[in-house]
Amino acid sequence: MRNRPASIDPQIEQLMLTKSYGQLREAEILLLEERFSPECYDATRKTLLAATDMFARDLPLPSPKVKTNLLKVLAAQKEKSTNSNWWSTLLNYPVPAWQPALGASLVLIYFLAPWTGTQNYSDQNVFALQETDIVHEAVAAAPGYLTASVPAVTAPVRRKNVGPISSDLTQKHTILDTLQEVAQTIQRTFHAVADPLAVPAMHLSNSVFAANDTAEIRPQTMEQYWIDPVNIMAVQDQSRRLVSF
Amino acid sequence: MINLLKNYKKYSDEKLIPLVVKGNERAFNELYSRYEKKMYRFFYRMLNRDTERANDLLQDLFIKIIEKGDRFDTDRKFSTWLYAVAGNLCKNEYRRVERLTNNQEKMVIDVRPGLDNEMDFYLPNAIDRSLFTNRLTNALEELEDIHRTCFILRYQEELSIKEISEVMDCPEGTVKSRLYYALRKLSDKLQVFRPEALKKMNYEKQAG
Repeated sequence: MRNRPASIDPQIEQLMLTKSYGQLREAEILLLEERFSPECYDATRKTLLAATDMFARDLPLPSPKVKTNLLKVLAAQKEKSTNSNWWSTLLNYPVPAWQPALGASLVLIYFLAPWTGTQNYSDQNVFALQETDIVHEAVAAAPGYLTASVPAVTAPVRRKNVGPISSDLTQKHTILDTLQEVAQTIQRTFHAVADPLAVPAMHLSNSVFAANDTAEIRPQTMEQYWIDPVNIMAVQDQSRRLVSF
Repeated sequence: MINLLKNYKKYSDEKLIPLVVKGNERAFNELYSRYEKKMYRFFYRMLNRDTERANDLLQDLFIKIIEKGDRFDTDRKFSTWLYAVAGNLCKNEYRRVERLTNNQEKMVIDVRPGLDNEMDFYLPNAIDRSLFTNRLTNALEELEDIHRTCFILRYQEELSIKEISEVMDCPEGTVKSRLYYALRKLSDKLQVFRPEALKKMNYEKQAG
């Protein structure tokens, strides 16, 4: 009994599609011998011919609705693609471009953030507001320094937790009023001191905000806050009179 | 404006894909026109000539291209990838149908026109030819999924053995073997159309 490999290859297929067993040459028969008997060859050939013929004749067409539906999907995809293009380009870029960009942004944010910039304020006229309701104005270039007491009546307001100034106008005005009171008190009671930094100052809640266009209060450390006088001057332009320097 | 001037007919499938993913309609039209009929006929045959489901799967296939075409590995041949995805859709469909019913209804077979040329030699009678074609269709539908897929990819879609091995993710030897078994099984089921073979079979049975 011959061991017939159970497989078919393109060469045999070609023979089957073109020649009946009786038309095969000797060399071609040798090629088949191990796999197909004459009957088996002709039967398989018949099946193969019928199948290929059927496939060639039976040619159904898809419904045109399919394309219509797909064009709708395509339009939606186009919109999606346009919207997400700028960031997907960045994220999918083969060179890792977004990581350096993110790093650079973080560095930039660090230097521009409200809690930095202490250096800038140290040389300017500033109010240091600390826990004991005593406001202190430091004038870097002047030979002496001034201090002032702030009335205790303003303390509850100052200790209130507040959100960003720009988000709530009422709250914003309350804060500005408080600052105005503090500033007016300072104007009334300035007197010289030897060491400005030794003076404790009023406490504002740690949840205090950074303002966008009015007064700006910046934490110097975890406990201290600074008021930017330049921005207080800007408030004056909005008819909310504060102290002028 | 630049897009309108481009002749996408000259583009390869692999080059069209990224454009389709971006929603380029002309690129899509070109790609669709290249494959709609082929893929529809593949589904049609794989799904026992269910035209409705074939349309559904054709739509699903192209939705996958539009939405997930960016996952296509451009080192591969697009048509091979497409048939692999289409094959998976068919498998999912078989599973779905199997869940719905274990006793799947057979399709009503219509009578197809007769065969010419070589087939005339074997079955000169038109009625015989129609019956033979119908029987062949039924036999094809009764094949195991892997054998049917292999057979359709080879003789309907005319893919090479190598391409089929990539689509079905198996060695070329396995493809040849599956083709052999598919052809033999079909041939066995069609023995009724070969009186001489039946006679011989009966004789062998009696002798055995």
